[in-house]
Amino acid sequence: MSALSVAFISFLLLALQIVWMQALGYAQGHHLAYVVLSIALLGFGAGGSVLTLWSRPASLKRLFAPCLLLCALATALVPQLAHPLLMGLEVDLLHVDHSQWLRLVILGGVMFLPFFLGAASLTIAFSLGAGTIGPLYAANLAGSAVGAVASLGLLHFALPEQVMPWLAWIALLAALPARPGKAVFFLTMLAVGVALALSPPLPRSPYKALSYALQLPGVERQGPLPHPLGRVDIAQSSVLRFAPDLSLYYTGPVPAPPHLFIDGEAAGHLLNPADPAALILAETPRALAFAAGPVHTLLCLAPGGTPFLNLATAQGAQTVAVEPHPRITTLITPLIVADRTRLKQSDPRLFLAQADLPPLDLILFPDRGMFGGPTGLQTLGEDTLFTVEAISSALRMLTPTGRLAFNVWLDEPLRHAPRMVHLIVQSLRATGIEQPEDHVTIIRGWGSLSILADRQPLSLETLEAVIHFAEAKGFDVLWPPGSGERRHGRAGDSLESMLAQLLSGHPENLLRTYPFDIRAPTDDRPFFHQFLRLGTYDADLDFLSISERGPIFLLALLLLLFIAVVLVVFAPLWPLRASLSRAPFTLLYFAGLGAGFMIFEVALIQRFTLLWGSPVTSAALVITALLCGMSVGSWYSRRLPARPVVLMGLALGIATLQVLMPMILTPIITFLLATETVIRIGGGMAVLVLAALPLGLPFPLGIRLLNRDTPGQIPWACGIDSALAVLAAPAAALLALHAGYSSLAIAATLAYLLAALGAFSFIFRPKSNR
Amino acid sequence: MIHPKLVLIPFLGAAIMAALILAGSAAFAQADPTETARQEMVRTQIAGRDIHDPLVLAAMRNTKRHLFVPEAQQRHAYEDRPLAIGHGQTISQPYIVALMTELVRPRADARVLEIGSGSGYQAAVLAEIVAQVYTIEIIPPLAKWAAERLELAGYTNVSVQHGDGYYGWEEHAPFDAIVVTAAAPHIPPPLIAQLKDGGRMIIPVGSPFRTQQLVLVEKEGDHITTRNMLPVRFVPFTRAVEQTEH
Repeated sequence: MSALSVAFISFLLLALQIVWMQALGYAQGHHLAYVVLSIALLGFGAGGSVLTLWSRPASLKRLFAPCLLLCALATALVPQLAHPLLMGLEVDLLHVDHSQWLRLVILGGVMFLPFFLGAASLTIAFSLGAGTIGPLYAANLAGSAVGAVASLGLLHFALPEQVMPWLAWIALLAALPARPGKAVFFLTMLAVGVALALSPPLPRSPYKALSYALQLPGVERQGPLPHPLGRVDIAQSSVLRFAPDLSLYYTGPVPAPPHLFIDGEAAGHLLNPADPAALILAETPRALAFAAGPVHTLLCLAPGGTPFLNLATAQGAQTVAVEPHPRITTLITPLIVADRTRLKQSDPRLFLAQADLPPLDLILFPDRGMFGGPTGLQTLGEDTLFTVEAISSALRMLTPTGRLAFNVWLDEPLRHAPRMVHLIVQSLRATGIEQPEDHVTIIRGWGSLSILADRQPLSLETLEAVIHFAEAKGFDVLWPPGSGERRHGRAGDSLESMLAQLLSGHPENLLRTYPFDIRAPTDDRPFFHQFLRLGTYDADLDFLSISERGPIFLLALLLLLFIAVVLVVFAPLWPLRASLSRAPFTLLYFAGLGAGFMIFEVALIQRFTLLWGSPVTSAALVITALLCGMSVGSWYSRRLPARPVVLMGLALGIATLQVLMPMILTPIITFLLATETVIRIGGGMAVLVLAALPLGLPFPLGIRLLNRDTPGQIPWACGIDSALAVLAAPAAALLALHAGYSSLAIAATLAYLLAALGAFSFIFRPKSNR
Repeated sequence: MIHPKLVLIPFLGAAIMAALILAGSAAFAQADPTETARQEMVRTQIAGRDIHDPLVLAAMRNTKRHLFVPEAQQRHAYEDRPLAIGHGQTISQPYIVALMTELVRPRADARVLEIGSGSGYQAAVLAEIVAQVYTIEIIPPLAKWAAERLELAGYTNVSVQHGDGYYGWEEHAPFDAIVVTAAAPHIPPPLIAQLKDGGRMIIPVGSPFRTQQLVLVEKEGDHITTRNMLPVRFVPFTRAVEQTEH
């Protein structure tokens, strides 16, 4: 079996995952990323299991080329088969319209095909080349690693639906070394070509902000501009206006600037400083940051376009603006006043960690709540900019009289606003401020809160300025309490009561009894947009968006995957169950490996997001580095004896590594954060490659052991490994949601201890099994 | 001895009764088949949820909601949910329509402005109560649909305009009440200006097709206040008829 074919097909399978994640993110939303990942892993597992139905292993060789050709055809056909399903799919209806689950399952079945066929060809290669599994596995890992990086690279220049056709051709290339029949090959090539030529465009949910904007009269659209962080569209219409939480006393013009969209969701505005209403934010609660006192130096994190930059310039501030999306940085650049604003393209959290700026008067955080939030691969609502650690670090960048500014839209039931306040309070405390209630100012418009967090206690002068601003604009001063009349709110409004408890220093009762979890997020649990409590998934769910239902979605996904694993991975292996019952090694060892690696990977992606910025980049680079390291380890495995005691030692060693990794990584990441980009990325990857070297050893050694002892269990081994990886992905996400990412180190350790136990059982298995 | 003409009386009576029965049956056969569903809707979904204004309840009973939804959705017209009407838009859940109507306290002599005609249903409900309704819709096919539906349903006191509701309808201002059905992140200043002193505006705040809040705006001279009334979910239970591809 050709290592080249293995490398090519591995390239395809990983690239297809990343491309499909991006495609579904645009079509529906990024909460489907775990669906794609799980389907891919399911395909890997099923591909191996189904092949066990072949009674003559020798005949498997004849299936190798056809599997690869069919994989190419499936890759080319999936867009067409998925199109009608995507047209009718609406993830926001999953909790009310159960037919949507059926549609999602069928879509999953369609997407499953290329992964299943590709994995089947890999399993054939591994089964028939078990004696030389090391190089084959290395080719698999290396091909996957290149696929991850290459797909990210391609997405800089092309949209996901434009990249997919190229991936189908990769599968055809994989078939060439397998020497398929000429006629079959050319017919397949023709079929692939026709399928690609007839490939339909990618449908977008009509409920996305971009879909709505494009229906407005006279709308002009630019884009899409492709990028791995999400495609950018610009839409402008004279009726598409911008004036968030505008003062009810304002009677002037409201601008209608070009609106920015990332993957169809609202992401900002390109408000020209020459627009007559360029300073519209001065009529909103957001202007509080300038009303409270003079601002000479300002750091604006993820400004969402130019409106706030215009206001800052008009106020005479020198501004550093940090924009995470490169396309948007390019779009903003012509609109800024160069001698007043410096624009940096960087992840905001990464910038906070690296920045070497003089102390600042003001740091402005982006809006959060109903109209604000991150886009991209934040399936679980992770937001590394809104954690205690991030805001504490921002506080330390201020001048003695400096302040932080936040804006949060009010929702009902209240969730984002109380969480934001608790986050600010905890961050102030983390910097040694013992009475945060003296350092906070909160005003309210009819729809949002603007919050200031000062390094110094609020002065009378500042309070008077705030009250004057609020009175002039018709806003309410909610904190300090008793500062003016109330114009907004509702009867029995619990907001002020909650603020009092959160700012009083004794919020424990509120945090414990409130139906939603509103605790301040930390780097270990950076889930700013997740509010569901463990075990109370039925509380007031009606008003939560799909992205806030992460735990429920993951639980449902876990259940569906469990059923799918039983049906497509374990069911085909049922005839072989007798052999398995005599060999717990296969079950325990490969289950531990499958689960352990996946949990480890999920934990690392989160850790390295802090180092590398974007989750998409982090995911791709972590996967690449791990697979590269594992491929080297796999290659080296042929020099090691495939003995149970060696396997047990390896598993124990990796379990120890899992325990030590958090302690090892923390100082390394802290050091690398302060370095240049090349060193930051290269150094991080080098660490991961080294850590992954031992991870590449156990699987091929286990396969070699089985090949010598009970070769009939090899398909089981592959199937179990894949099945546990499938289930471990959403399970790891759920565990992280409830217990933090640090719990994943414990889970991964336990998984590798399970593998060690499996190896141990092989040593002491009954003689009749030998 | 019985007069011969008196013998005819029972036969005449029977004939009259038969005619009455036949007429009643015919009338029954032609009665609105959705009447029962509509009454039940008001009883369980509206009155059963603390909407008490008798004008609003009567309006909800009289307004034939099924005339304002696409044919494919008509069998769901009186169910307790919003329905997709195409172009990414929805007709609101009956309760929300009733609530928004009650909140603006419509009176018989009132002039009401609606921003976002959508299906035309809200305008129809308002038209049952007030003197005149002015409704504006920005999406051309929907403006046409609403106008056609309102005409079909027999409403003559509703004026439909295709246009940008942001600027209200100045020539007919000021208005006793303004009902905004399209969610937005800000309240247009022209609408506040066109609201009468003592008037009320109801507007949903939030991203379209997600959870929103109903905000009641009250104007007393220069004093403008808002109240968040309750959260509403503007997510349709069925998929929109038309999809978007590009």
